[in-house]
Amino acid sequence: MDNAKEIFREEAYELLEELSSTLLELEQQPDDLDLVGKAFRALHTIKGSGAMFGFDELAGFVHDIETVFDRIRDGGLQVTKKIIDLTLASCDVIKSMVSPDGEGFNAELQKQISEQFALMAEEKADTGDEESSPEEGTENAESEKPLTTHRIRFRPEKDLFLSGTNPLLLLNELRDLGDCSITGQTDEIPPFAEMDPENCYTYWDIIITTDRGMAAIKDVFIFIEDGCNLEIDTIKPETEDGAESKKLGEILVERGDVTPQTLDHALGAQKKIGEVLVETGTVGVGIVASALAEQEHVKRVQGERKQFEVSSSIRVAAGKVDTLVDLVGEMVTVQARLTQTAAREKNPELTMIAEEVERLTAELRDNTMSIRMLPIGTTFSKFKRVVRDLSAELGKDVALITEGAETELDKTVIERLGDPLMHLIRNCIDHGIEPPEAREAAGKPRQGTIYLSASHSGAHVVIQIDDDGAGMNTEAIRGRAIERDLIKPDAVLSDKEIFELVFAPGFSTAQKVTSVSGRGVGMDVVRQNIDALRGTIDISSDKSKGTTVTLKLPLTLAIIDGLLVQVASSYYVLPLSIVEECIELSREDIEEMHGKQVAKVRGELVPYVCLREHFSLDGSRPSLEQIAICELDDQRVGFVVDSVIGGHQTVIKNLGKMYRNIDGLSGATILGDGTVALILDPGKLAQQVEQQVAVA
Amino acid sequence: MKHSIVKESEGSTLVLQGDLSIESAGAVKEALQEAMEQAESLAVDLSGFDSGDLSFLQLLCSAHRASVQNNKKLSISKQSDAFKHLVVAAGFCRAKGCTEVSAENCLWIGGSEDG
Repeated sequence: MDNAKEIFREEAYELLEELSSTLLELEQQPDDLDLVGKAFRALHTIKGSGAMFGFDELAGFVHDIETVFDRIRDGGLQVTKKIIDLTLASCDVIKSMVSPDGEGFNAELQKQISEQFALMAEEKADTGDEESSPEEGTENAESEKPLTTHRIRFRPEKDLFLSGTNPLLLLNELRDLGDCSITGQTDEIPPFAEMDPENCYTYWDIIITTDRGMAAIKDVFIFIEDGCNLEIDTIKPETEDGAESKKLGEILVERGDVTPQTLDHALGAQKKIGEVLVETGTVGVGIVASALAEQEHVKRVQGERKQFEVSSSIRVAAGKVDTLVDLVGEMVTVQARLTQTAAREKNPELTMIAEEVERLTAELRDNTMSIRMLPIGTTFSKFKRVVRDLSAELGKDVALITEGAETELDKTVIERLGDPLMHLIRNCIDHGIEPPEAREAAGKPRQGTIYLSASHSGAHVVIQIDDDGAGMNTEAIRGRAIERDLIKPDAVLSDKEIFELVFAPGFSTAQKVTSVSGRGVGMDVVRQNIDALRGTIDISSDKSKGTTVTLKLPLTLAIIDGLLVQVASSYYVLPLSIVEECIELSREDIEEMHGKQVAKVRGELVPYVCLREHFSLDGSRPSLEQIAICELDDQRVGFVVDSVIGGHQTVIKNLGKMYRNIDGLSGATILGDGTVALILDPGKLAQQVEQQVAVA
Repeated sequence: MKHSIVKESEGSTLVLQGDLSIESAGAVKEALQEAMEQAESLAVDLSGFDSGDLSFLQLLCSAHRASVQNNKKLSISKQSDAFKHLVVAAGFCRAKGCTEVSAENCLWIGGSEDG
């Protein structure tokens, strides 16, 4: 049961996300009944499943909210800001009611919301046919039934109209249950002169596909049970595996006994079974037509079901996927060992097997990694709510526009990205966007805009948070930095360097502390988080025009394609995605540049870092070295190594506590023979060297 | 329910308007009977049809059969959306007529669930 509750919890969280974003859309388009329906369905499912899994209090709480949305759907109520606000607040209450330890549950708030909704529901309840809640709680259980197709023959008594029953309303009720094909049979209508116009002579053949079960169908006819002849059968699928059994002609063609042309000819000469039966007077045309309608209906429903089955997905615990990724990581390491052994043994058969294993491992790796990829949109939708609530709290008018919600990122990266993004967006609203009056005075629209976008860029995802607010005040930042002794009063700094200062721990220029920001905890934590994700953060700002924060993050944190290089007896891995090319560096090349650490590549000067010198490794440089040239922020930087070994599937392992914070290294990996190779962070390395040169 | 018969050179048109449900079924039958007796070819104009129920559809169906049997013609010349909805709701739309009437000559051929 606990497991089932956990599944419900996950489902409820997803539904609440969906509900929140629907409500925000509804706020913009209050007349959109599709959105009302969507919100209603989400609430209905939460209530139904909640009751099923023993969250009775939750089901009771959601019931009144659902009723209000039902009234809106029926046109009895209008969407108002109050309803949206209350429902959004309910989302938080529901979330806390569902959470395992009831974290953040506010009984007082729940009571208040409940009362408000009950009041709204009652206001209109006298005009509607209110359903009772205990019955509704089980509705979802019914809808969980599998889709089945039923054949119904509904033959009312002739005096049906006398009881005031309109059979067409019953047919409409059936249509509400599912996909329905209805054929009215008219063959029993008597000749005109003999007919009593107040009698019912029609009967119906109905094919319905529904997940509501036989009981729901019988319920439709419950009030005229005694006044009609009702036959309901369930139509079984043709064969258990869904494959249709072959017709005689198809078998004969397959065996080669007749050609398709002969078969077509024979079939053309033959009368259809329906025609034969009608001609002999066995059945009427209407009956044949309804049988054909049944055939057509079943075929269509089976087709739709197959399509649904193909596109359906399964829910797997995240922990299982994490374990799978770990196992694939181990597998990649063992495969590297196999490849190395095969190369050493020089056994052609073993080499062939090793190559095959390598190919399969690479495929397995890509496949597993793709399972972990999630669209970033789920995180984005959370921020819509944050922006709405915060801007209201601060008396500002802010719109959030998102783009690239479908961009996929590793699950872990997305999870760890939530907090830093939240900080950045809060900053935009609190510091960036001005109050509406100030914006008007500055000739800007009253409503400020935050533009949140995500896009792929090689093996990275770039996330940008743009605002059209006041921009960053370089003077204020500079002043505060001098006050805090971060820079000397006479220091000459570029704008970019000044913006970097905001990442210092405890840095804040806010005049007063608000619940949002100004405590000086924020940007340094953001940077730490982004660093931990092996990403970069960059700020650019134009006074009065706005600020842009750019985050660049790796697609994944588990396995990457690397370039394995060797310096002295040590091995290093460079991320292959940023390596552009490898060129040779000879003694003559070095002399030509007079010992300056710059190489001439097709006429262009490329600065390089000599890893042997940088890491103070023993031994002398070989006469012919290699430069791995990397693209770093639109700049090419080379890394000089003794030799380039080749591509390497790199399973990233974290470094121990002692080494974790060393700049320039982002992790380690284990090679086939058990040797540890350090994974380099070329961006950080280049920065370090730049700083050393500047100090010198 | 309101009805009127308009005589033209090629036949007559029976205009039926308003609510054509069970309450007026008797009157509708009489109107149909009268119009059918007067003309070889009868068109029924239902552009003024506001509401109705199964009883009206049954009457039309039976009247149509009677005219075919008597080598006369009965057709629906104009129809309102409400009438089209009624035909769909009753499941009367079909591709072929019933046995008494020739398969291609049925009042309900050509309707569809889309109206």
